[in-house]
Amino acid sequence: MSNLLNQIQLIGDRLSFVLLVVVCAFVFPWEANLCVFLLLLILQTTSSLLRPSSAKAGLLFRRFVRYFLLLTLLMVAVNALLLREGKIIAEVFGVSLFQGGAIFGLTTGLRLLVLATALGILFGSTPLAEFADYLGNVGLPSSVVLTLLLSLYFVETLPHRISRIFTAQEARGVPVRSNLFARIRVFSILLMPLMLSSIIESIDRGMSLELRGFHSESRISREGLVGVRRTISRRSAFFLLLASAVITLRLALWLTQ
Amino acid sequence: MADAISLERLSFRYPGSSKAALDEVSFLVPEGSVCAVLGPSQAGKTTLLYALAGVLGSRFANAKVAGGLSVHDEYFDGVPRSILFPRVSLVLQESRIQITGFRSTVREELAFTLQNLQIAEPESAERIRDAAEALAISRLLDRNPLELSGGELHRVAIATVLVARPQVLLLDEPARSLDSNSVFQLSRALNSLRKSQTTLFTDADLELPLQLADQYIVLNRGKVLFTGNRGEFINSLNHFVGLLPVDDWLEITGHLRRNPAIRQTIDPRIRRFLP
Amino acid sequence: MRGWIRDQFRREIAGIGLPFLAFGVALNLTLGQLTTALKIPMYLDSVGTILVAVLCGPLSAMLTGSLANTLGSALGSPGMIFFIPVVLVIGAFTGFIASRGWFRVWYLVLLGGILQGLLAALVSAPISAYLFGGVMMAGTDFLVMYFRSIGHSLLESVLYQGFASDPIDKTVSYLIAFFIVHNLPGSILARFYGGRNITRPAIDEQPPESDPTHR
Repeated sequence: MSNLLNQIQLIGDRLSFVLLVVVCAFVFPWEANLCVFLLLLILQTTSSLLRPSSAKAGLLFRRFVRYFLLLTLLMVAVNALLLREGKIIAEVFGVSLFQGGAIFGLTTGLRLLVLATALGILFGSTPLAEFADYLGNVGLPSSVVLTLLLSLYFVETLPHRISRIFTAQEARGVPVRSNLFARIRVFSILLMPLMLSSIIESIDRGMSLELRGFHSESRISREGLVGVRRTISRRSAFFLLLASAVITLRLALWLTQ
Repeated sequence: MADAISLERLSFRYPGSSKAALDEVSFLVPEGSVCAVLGPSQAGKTTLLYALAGVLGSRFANAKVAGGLSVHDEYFDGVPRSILFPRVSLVLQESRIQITGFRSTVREELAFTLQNLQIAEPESAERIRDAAEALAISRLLDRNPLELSGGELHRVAIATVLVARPQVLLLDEPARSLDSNSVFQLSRALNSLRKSQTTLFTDADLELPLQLADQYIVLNRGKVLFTGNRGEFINSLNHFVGLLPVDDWLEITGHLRRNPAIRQTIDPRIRRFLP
Repeated sequence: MRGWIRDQFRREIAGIGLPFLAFGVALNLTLGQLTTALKIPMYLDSVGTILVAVLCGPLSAMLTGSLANTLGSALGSPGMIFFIPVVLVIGAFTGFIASRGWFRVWYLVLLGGILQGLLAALVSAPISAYLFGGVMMAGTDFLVMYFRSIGHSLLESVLYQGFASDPIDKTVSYLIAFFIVHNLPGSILARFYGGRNITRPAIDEQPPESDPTHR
């Protein structure tokens, strides 16, 4: 039980930390966001709160970061090329890159990078099933939590079903590798068996949940933890206070400008 | 002995269907007995279980219904309009669908049912222990349900409703896709539950029914063809050629009739299931 | 208001339950695998939301879409979570037109898809422009760049790109959902709250033996 309590509190701490980072991403200038991004990368490897929960989660996180780094670079390049503001900072094959556009790209790109890294850290360090448990314990309707948990099941099984139907139809001689129009026709042939079997299974699953006493008003989170929703750890309180301070400071600066 | 289940000329037609899925079905199931409902595909076996569990009434409000049924003296005109869980518990044909799929251990899977019933500790732990012992799955409690074999998963699926301590346990083709060893283990587990509830299960085969059931109902196209005990059923096997896979059993009973001495050579644990 | 939402949601999922919504979530995230296997250049990341909207209703669809985008972000496409407002609009609009019987006939489905696409473009443009700078690492980025190069602002460029591509994408998704619901057995369609909004041949003529749920 105390392990469960710890788990719930850790997730709360992570969420508060991510909220702080989100506030910083929207308030800070691009230079500060670059520092926040680098800090996040360091914390992700050194902090027990933010470390990935598994090797697979770690791999996914690295994909996250690579994708958004690339996106940021692209945003800087595209905006520097198209937003002709400020002085020219470079000439590439006769094409001018403008400072105003580059800064706009950096501001938007780094903001997105920080947001995405924070989200990546949250989902990388918290298995989804635990996250769903947390949501149930802090008062999210059980229908939402259950749907999320069941989605994980279908996300695992649907690709296998797709693969089986695809292979079975290919073995029957259906032209899955023919021209585009034939393949579009094949798509409609493959779609209905997939839909029918999955819809029937989902209806049966709904019935089986009801046959085990579940209805949309039921609580599905593990019992004994209702009180947790009312407690905030010191760490969470610290992150939330810091976020409030950042917002207040920014407002003050804006008002005095 | 009082009757746990009583059907009185129950007829049911699904919305939009021209044929009755159940056609004036009447029978009695005494309390504490194990009843097998047999018949070929589309006989109405699953529909019958759904009617008893309250699934038909809650899902097909526009269906054509006639007659009635009683469960432990509570009479329902037509079919029950809501699911009767936990009093009547139904285990579906597919064990994979019976479990939630998002609980990482068997213990948590069983606890899910008890949470729905708002049963807290320590009663929750006690019920899980009892159900696990009854179905011989105590050693599986900390395993992931999705990693279990077919037979093990099926016993876990039964345990998910057994923890609710139902008065009537309904099982839809529990022996389907199980090998003989698993069927035997299932039979032994269900046998141990006799004292605590009335059990009704469907099957298209005879292996489990002949090992376990003391009451038999044969359905075909929604109509009842036969009701009776094991002796009466075995003596009527030749009437069900073409409807049930009776050929092997007819051969066995034929052998036994011609050579009674063979009976003594058969393992005592199996001998009691023979005519 | 909360009571109405709860009651409406219960009506939408009555008889089929939450797992169908979970299936819709997973469909949004995995149907793209089928088009990839067939090398068809479509992603179809909202067919699940649309199907739930047609068969259940707007509230279920909005939940389905939101969860799909949240889960998608957690499972490797981090940008999806920022487009939750778009899927809320898709779910609400589709549920509304489905309740008015638009999914009975293909030409209304076509019109609905175009309108939905325009609406989705309107809602997604600010998100795409201010959060992503108009760059989504997709083929449509070139459209954005083109519009910007001829003098339009970032927001205008993203909006015009959306108007050009979203109606096509949404119309295709709508037609796929139309195809699916009109090929479901009548007895399964009848189980859904939204099933009554789909025109079917006289249900009495359908043989029960073809219904996989009749055992």
